[in-house]
Parts: sequence; structure tokens; C-alpha cells
Amino acid sequence: MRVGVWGAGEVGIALVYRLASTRFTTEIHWINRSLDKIECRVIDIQQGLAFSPSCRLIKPYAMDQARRVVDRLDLLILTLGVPVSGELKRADLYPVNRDVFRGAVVPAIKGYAGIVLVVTNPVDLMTRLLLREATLSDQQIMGLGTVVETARLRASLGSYITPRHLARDVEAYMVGTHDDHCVVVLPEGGGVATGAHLDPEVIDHARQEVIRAAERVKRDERSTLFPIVEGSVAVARAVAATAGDVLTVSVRDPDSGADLCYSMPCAIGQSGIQSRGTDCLADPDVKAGVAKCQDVLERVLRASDEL
Amino acid sequence: MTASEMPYEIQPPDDDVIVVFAQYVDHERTPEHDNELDDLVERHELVICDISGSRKVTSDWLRFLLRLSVKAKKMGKRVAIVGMGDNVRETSDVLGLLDELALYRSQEEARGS
Repeated sequence: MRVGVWGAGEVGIALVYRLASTRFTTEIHWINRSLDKIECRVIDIQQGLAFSPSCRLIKPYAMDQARRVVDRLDLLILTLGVPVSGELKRADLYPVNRDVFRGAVVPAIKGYAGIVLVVTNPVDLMTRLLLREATLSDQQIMGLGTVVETARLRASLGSYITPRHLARDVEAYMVGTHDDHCVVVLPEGGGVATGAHLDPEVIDHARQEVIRAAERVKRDERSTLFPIVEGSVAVARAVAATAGDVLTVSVRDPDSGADLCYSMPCAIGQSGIQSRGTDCLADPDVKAGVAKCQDVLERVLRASDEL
Repeated sequence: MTASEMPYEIQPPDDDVIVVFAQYVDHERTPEHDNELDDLVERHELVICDISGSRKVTSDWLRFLLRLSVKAKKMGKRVAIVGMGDNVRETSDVLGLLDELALYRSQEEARGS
């Protein structure tokens, strides 16, 4: 699969290196505001491709070349923009990253036939922005959303369950928005592996641990990277395969009059989003939690004069 | 099994029980550990978890101590964490557990509280 990564911050750099060692990546096309930051790293990766299972090519591009290179990609991953830092929350980044996307990304991807994965924060709003302004289909665009929170939740719950479970064996996930309001879903009928038997206070502690994880970036920029990078790779792998992997990516709610995007469990394949699961909304607590996420999104959009 | 192979040692039972944790608590946590410590909470009003000699307690064990604390609280009992060092405190803080664990500087303080 030919993958494009746009951005060379902590996440973009880590993601490019990681993609070069995956079995499904054949080409990496790395776009950045300027070539300066990425040219040496591209050479570095080129010099290691002898050990890569599939990647045969990595090329750097400046932003003004983006329109030309996007058309040859199967998947474009967007990590560019201002990252969360200091006292800023993700939603605070919307005005500035919106301008970045409008100025560079939207013109480059209009008419693009491939899949777009948004990682830039605030991811739900950035996904919505592209959906509305780049005129791509619901199937083509998704945000990384609560893929990261789901991974963190599984790691935490795995510790609380007896017998102890590996994170990958825990059957729980988080839906809603990629912020403090995301909602825990413990599927029924999954037995011990869901953690549904745990004391509600323990489950809430696991949720709080997940939400607090984003703050770690203030101590050490790289200490929150791994689930973001691996989550992005999991989405990319799902696009490359035909298995219909289910991941909690951020997609448009068709019942939302405002084209709100937030995370629900979605089957992902080569054509992008194959289906959006809503079974979890049968739980009134989950439904109420998701409604709160929608309120928060609308509040930010109103403050930005977009509603 | 040597002392270094055991994550903790339970001191002779009394009205309160003391669980003294190893210097490095990074052992694989087994259902046997979970059941043994769960049982202590069920049988005693106060379980003192002494980590004053622990330079490191993995996140897995810290989360389990939180689970024990919640269980004790629901039963009207107490789990007291004694002697948390700086390294363990930082890990607990990152995990968001610091405010939730009942921390004491000494066993006497835990008993007197």
C-alpha cells in the first residue's frame, strides 16, 4: 500500500519510521511544510530499507508539492498542525489548525480517491472540517478518534481483572469524542474479559487514567506516542487488508444535523469505512455520554461561528 | 522460592495484617496473588501494605492495590499504603491513583488514623 504522511512533528516522525517496518507498506510519501526537517530522516530510512519487509521507497515532499503526490496514494495520514502543549486543550487548537487545513490540506485533497486518516487535533472537528470542505465521502475520511483511548482503557482494565488479561485480550472500548468526555463501553456477554464485573468505581479509575494520559505530554513529549502511532498503524493495516477490522474511529454521525464526527466502532477495509456500529447506544448511559460529547462539539463549533 | 522471587510477604496475622512488599515489585501478578490479597481484605479490618522498602512497584501492582482499596472501602474496611517512595509516587501520579490510595508515612500512623 502506498501511504502518505503529512507532518513531521513527534507523531509524524514516529509514524513514518514505524510504517517503514510494516508488511503492508510498499511506499511512503512524506509531506512537510519544508523539506529541511525530513530530508535527512528520509535518507536514514532509505539506508535501512534492506531490512524492511515490504517498503521499497520513501520520498520527501515540500507542502507545495502535496497536490501532485496525493493522487498516487492509497492512504493519506494527516499529522500536521499545532500539537497540544502547555495549558492548551485539544479544542483550543481548532481555530489555528482549521486555518492550517483550509490553507494546505483541503486544496490538496479535493477530488482525492483514496482514504484519509486524520490524527491532527482536535481530531473530531478536523475530520468534520475535511468532510465538509474537501468534499470526500463518508467512507473515505476518518479520524483516529478514540482508537487511542480504547487502547489505553484495555491496558488499564487488563490490570484490574483477575486473572490478569493482556490488553489485546480485553473486550472493551471507548466511544464519543477524543477528549475528557469519551465513554466507556463494556460489551455484554463478553465474560471476564470485558471488565464489566469490576466495581464501577474501579472502572471509573480506569477511565480517569485514560483521560489523564494526555497530560503526560507535558512531562515528556514522547511518553504518549505509542498508542497514537500503533493506533494509526492499526487503521492503516485495516485499510490495507480485507478483513473488516473494527476500530473506534471518528466518523460522521448521519443522524447529526451538524455533520458531527465522533468515534463509534467501525468496520474498516480497502474502501475505507464499511459500516458504523451503533449497538452500544442501546445502553442508556452510553447514549447519554455520547449526547454529552455531541453537546461539547456543538459548543466549540458555535464558539467558532460554524453553527 | 526465595524472598526476591516473591512480590510480598504476609507478616503473622493479627487484628490487622501487614503485607510487606519486595524491593522491586515487578513480578507477574497471578490469580493466586489476587485471591490471597482479596482474602486478606475480607478477613481483616485493616490491611497495611508496606512499600517503604520498594524502590519500584509496577503499574500492574499499583492498579491492583487500588482495586483492593476500593473493595475494602465498600466493605467498611481499610487498605493503608505505607511508605510510598518518590519513584512509586511518580508512577502512581501518572496513573491517576495518587489521590485515591490511602497513604501513610508509617504503620503506626496507618493504625492510628
